[in-house]
Amino acid sequence: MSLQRADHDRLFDLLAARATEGLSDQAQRDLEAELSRAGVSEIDMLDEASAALDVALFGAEEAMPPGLQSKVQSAGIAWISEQQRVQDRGPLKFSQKQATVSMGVGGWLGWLAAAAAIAFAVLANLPTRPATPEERRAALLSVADVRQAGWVSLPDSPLAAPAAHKYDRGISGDVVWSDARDEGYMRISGLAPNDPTQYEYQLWIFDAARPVGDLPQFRVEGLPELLTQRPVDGGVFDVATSGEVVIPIHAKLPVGKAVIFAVTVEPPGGSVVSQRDVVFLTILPG
Amino acid sequence: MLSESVLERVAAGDQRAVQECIDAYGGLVWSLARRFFRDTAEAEDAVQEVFLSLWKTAHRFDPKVASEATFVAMVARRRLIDRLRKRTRHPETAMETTEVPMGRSEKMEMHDEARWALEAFSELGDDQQRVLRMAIHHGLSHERIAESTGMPLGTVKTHIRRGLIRVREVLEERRARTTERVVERAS
Repeated sequence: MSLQRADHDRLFDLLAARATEGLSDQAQRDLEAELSRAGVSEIDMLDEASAALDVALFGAEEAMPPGLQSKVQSAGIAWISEQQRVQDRGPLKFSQKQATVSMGVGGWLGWLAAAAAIAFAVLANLPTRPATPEERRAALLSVADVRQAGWVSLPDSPLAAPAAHKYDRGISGDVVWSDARDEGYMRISGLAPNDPTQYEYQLWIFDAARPVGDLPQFRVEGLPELLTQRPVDGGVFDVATSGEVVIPIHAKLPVGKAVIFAVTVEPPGGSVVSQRDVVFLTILPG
Repeated sequence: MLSESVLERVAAGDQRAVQECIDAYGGLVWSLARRFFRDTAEAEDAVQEVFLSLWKTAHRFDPKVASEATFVAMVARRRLIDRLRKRTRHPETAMETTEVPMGRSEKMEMHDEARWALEAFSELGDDQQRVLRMAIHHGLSHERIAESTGMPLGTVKTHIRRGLIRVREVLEERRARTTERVVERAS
């Protein structure tokens, strides 16, 4: 393990909690801060240990119901087909894997050398600097299916929070998002700094792959049907400055096809079901 | 020629690998989901989320870093824990745990990592084993474990932290030894 454990009890407590019972949004932010301080990037450092142990302690296995198998299979095939369509429009991700498995003897020896080098690096406890959100955002921009759109404030929209202007100080910025990676970043400036003990901002992701109309009270004439769905919680966040901040998006569920990202003001800790007083949003191009 | 794992084939866009992946790990994922959620519909939704997540993250699987079963269990546990956390934010949906009979099925052959993890586990103290089993196998929160064992919450957290660190250390040591042996044989 590449850290002096005694110096990082808080970090390992958070990693262990993540691997066993999960973390609140606040604890997740604490963990990211601790990882940054410790100079490591392995957020799942103890997840693998708990997974291996879970498999080791595993009880009798129960067969998956056939109906569920069919649904999972159809979704898997649809997902692969969609990826292939995306790749037809951009750099091939799959081709890297295909190149790997067609290696000859030279490639095999190269792999061994690489494996030895990796093992050496691990054993040598080399510290690695975690990439900043800005760097990860920049890297994501080169992914084939990434989409990007700017924020829109909602001065007169039926969606707007009653006091949206209180938080909007000339909001600008954008969202970049990859469905394939379930990864995205918000860039925001001009949003009023908040006191986390009073209120927090929360991101919501409307996913075209999820059912609409399950919250019919949010049906508003003239607005898309999509807004009547239960959106995916994209995480609670705080803003300490009116200047530009880049915030990683932590979707709490897998997102099939993100279409709208909306930011609301919620009580400290966030909400499970928002009242949807939206401060601003973005609509991703298809 | 290296033989490609089923997840690598999924990542390479092989549609046939989808069914093979379900055949190989469907029982594991379904059983994990049933352990987290007693309600069948909830478990079915959770399984669909887990597999969607697996298709999406298959390209991150690296057989040099972890076995496929461990990777699948990692992805599944992450999704199930997140889903359970989200549900328990509703006051009406209390955490559920389902007792699962112990005993490995013939289909679940224990791979190296699970065996190493079990070895590390068996060397831990009784209290540590008990707490880790409750946290990982029964999915209980740290607070629930403290309540049911009578141990202070801090002690529960320490047992879990130290236990997982020990398992991780053993996995790293064994993996490094295996890598060294492979390199020696090839040179």
